[in-house]
Amino acid sequence: MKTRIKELRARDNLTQVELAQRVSVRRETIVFLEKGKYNPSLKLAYDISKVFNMRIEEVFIMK
Amino acid sequence: MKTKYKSLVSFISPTLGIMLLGLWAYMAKEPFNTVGYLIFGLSILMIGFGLYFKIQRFNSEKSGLTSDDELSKRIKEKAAAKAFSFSIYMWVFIILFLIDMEPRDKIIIGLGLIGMGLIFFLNWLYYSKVGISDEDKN
Repeated sequence: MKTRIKELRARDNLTQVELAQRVSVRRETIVFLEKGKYNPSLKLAYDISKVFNMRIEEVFIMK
Repeated sequence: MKTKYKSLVSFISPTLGIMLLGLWAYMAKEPFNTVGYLIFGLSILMIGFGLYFKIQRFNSEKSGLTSDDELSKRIKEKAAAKAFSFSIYMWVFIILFLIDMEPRDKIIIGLGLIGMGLIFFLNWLYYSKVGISDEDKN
């Protein structure tokens, strides 16, 4: 699964730490998500999408 | 009692480990042989790794981040599951080929291994029935 998290963080001027704080995860989890090494739970995917004000499928792209 | 930093409490186990290792080295009647040095070195290595990850957790908590989340829990669960299955085979191998002991003692250890398998099976049955929800709850 690909994600647009890095691109959207840059758009909204958010650091990995700030995003991690907003969705209550560790910074390492954001790193793994951006590298496509981890598939998040539905709740986490939803929370991240809410931060960027987008739909889940616009942030997380199934290959 | 509410601890401000949960991860501070987790420093207790590596501290105890270092103290016990130190005590063991101090109370050894003879200098260590190769095996002794190997055990000592491996123990230091494991405690070192444990401390490294605990310090990372502590720093995460200090910067307002959660110290444990869904990914870290999944990693722990996967590692524990793999460790469990490898350990069972390891112990079977050890008692069959590496240790010279009375058949009665082998039976006792074997029963212990079967007990481990039974505990795993009962847990599996339980979670298969009740399911797993809210994995992200600490």
